[in-house]
Amino acid sequence: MKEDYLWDKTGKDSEIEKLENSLQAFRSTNTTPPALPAKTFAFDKGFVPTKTARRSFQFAFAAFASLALVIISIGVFQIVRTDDQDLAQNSAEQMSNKTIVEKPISVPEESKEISEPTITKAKFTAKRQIKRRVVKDKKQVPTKISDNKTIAKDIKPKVVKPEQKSETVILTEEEQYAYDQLMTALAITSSKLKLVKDKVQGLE
Amino acid sequence: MSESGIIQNIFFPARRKKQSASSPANGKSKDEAMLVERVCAGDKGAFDEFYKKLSPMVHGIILSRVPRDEVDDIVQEVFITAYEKLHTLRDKNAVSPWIARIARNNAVEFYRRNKPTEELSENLSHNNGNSKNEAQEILDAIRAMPETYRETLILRLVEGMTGPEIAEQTGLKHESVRVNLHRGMKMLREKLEIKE
Repeated sequence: MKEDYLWDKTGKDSEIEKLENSLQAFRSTNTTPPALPAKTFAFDKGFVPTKTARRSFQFAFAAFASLALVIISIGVFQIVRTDDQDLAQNSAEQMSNKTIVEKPISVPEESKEISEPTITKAKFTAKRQIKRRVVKDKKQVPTKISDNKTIAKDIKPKVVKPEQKSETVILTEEEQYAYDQLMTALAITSSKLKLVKDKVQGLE
Repeated sequence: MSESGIIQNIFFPARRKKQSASSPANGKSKDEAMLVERVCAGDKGAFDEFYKKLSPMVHGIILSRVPRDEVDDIVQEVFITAYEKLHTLRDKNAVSPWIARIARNNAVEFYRRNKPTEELSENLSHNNGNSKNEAQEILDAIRAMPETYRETLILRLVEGMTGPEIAEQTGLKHESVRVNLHRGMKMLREKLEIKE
């Protein structure tokens, strides 16, 4: 049968044999196998980071760096915050510690004798200096001296003299007037209180 | 024949055929599996054997799709790819159909890489004799056929493989190969007679 030769080369078929002979020129002649790529085992010669290993390392490094950055920023923020708090506390303490020691105002004796309170005009001098005791703090608040120092660097260090700490405070005219008014008012009220007290004691 | 055998023949004729057909091939596939294991183990001699056994089939598959000058290079590429990926092959018995698939994929890849070109006729370079021209004409006629026929015909007529060998190595059924061969031959005869 012709078909047997086509299927399993049994029998004879001159036509197919002829085709085979003519097409034999295209048959594969290369019997040498290709040069195989060398198989490399990374772990034999020590650890060679692969792409994934490199990526994971980069990711870990980035995460660590960002964490460190966050910790540092929190630390800096805390330091700045405590400094601010200290500064505010110091200033508050300073404000509270500042007390004006008032001079006992001598009320004129005439007013004591007056049965009915009369407003007396307080005599006040124009520029009167009142000494105030300034409580010195342990912690020094940045003063003008330091500011002057910084300025002095720019201008002339010799010319600028540090401001001397004077315990006397010079009041302005308005302040003096207000102070005198207050003293007068206090004197009147104290005299009135005394009268009331005498009356109460007299009744008793 | 026992009763169970008769029942099996009545109800599962296909299974019986498969068993009878695969039984002689089982030994061959076992040999192939052994060969693959040796290649995976790094046996150079086993790879040479592997190449000699399967290169005609790979060559034929590629020749049916790619210009003749490129065939040898692509065959080499196919075997290198196969060597690199051989450890991923699950069924070691099915190495031939697997490598045939790699060959088809590489042929497709060739056309993806390169723009389609028109192959020059052998007449321009070789004017040695009529036999060469005639062979080229026959090859061109086969290449002009549908893919299913041309691959089987080239493996049969160019590479000199028998029908059962083609079926075994390409993973096609015997019936399919037989049909492809007959219809392909019929078409080829018609084409060659028309030309003449």
